[in-house]
Amino acid sequence: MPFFRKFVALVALVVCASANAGAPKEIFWEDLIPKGHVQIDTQAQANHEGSEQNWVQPDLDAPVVKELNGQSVSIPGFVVPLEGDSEVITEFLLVPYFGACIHVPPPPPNQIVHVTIKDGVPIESLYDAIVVTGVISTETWSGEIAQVGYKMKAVGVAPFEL
Amino acid sequence: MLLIKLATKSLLNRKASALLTLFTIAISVMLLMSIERVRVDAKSSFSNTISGTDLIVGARTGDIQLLLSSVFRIGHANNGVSWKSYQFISEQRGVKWAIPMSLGDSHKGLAVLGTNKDYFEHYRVAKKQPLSFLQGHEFNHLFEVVLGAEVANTLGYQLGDEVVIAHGMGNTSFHNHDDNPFKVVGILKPTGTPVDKTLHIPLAAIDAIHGSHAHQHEPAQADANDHDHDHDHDHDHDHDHDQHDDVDLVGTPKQITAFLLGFDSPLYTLQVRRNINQYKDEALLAIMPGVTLRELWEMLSIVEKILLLFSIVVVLISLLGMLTSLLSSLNQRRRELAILRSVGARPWHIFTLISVESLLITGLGCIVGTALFYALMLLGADYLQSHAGISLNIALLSSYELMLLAAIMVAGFIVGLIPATRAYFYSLADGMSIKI
Repeated sequence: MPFFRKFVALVALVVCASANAGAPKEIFWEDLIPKGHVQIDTQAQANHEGSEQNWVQPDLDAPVVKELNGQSVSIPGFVVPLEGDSEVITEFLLVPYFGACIHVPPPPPNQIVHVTIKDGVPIESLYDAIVVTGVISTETWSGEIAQVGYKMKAVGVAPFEL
Repeated sequence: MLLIKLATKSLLNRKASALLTLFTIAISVMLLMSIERVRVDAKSSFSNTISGTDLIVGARTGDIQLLLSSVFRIGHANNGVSWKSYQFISEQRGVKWAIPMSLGDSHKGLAVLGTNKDYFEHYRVAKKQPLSFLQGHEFNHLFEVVLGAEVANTLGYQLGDEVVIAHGMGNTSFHNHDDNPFKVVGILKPTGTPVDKTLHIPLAAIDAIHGSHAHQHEPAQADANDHDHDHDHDHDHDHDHDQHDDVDLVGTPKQITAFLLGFDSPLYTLQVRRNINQYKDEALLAIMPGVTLRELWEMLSIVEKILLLFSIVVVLISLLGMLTSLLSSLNQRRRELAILRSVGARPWHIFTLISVESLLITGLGCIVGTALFYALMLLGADYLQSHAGISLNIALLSSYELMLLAAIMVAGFIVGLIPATRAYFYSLADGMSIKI
């Protein structure tokens, strides 16, 4: 069954890509950082952990690339599952390196994409990189801190191949 | 059609062995389907248990142990989280809600959870479904309890009933908190998760039933008709104190078992998780339920595969049993086949006849097996729900199960080809000159 689902996901990817007339733009993590912005080194900021400044998120004002809003893109990355059932994942964080959540300080907000996918995708192993295709948006959510980040409504997920 | 009729008649003529073969297949089909259904449902009822929670925080232990003890009530936590840490973390920017959880007490073997009102508002099961009330409402006073659906069902509690909480877990306790009965004010709708088996009381009440609070207001009531001025003053004081407790449902416990966190944005999860895991003042562990559930599946996948392997082997054995009985009956049926040949049956008629027989046995075996499977599910569902917390989904066959059945049919047909081929060559060679 997982193979079948994977196949369906692939077909959905192909169909959507052709429907949009022109393949989605392939982007990489560097493209999510605005040109000229000096990103705080996530390794370096590990020193002042626990302080009030970055309890919630390092580099709170990490800007996003506004031009990407509404564009159909595909981006490779690793999955940190948030929601799903025993078979599929419907909501996850896409991060640029595996273990982003465990061994090293997490990436700044403009290096995380919050992906939702309507019918979910089966993801066999969290160790494997995937390529997600969908419409990306730069969204502000109303919390205590006005915070901007990337959100994506994905239409397809495929295994990442070099 | 004629061949099917012949095959049926021939099978009916050998009722005993045919029926036995059929039942072997039926039972193996039942076994395979039950194992698969329980496996799939166990998995889904696990992953349906918690949803919409960004982090679970507890004392430092293993990821999976924290998940199991805090949400599934399997095993127990070895240590708690100090109230100070809880307050510090829940007041951080970006934290939308925090639900403290205090476990460890029980009522007739069912878990008692001390929590706050946010629990009813923010706790989510299966695909972000909120908890909803079948009857009544959430607790508003200190000694009020909200029951999970199954607690109310199995113990037969109604709104307004009084419940006594026992100290410690398990069915028997030597120390019941008899002096503080809880009034049932709400019953939750069934969710198919451990919530159904839980009694929810205000966090402050956990402290109250253990702590010194209980004997504070007793003297005041006993001496209520005493008109001594000084004592009246005391009485008023105590009364005020009680009212204060009624409003404050959280209180200030020394420690809690664990707590759940929700953030304004899921993007905060990674950073907060790291900060909690590196919290200097106390050894804490924060886990993301989605990630830890995945880890649990990966650990259990080997057991799953072994179970599946075993049930497939059982099906294979039953098919081999069918092969044996068909092959051994062939010798007895040489005369039958020879007579068929003499009345004009061609060798491939004989071949088809035997294949149809094996198909009939497997087909009937699958049907009877499915019927047995449903019977077993109906009988076992309650037991599994109450003992293992697995809610069985007694629905129509899923496409996966239909596929399993089809696979068994194909396997049965292929196995049937062997005696059919034997019979084909027998009928060519034997002719009618067989001597028995």
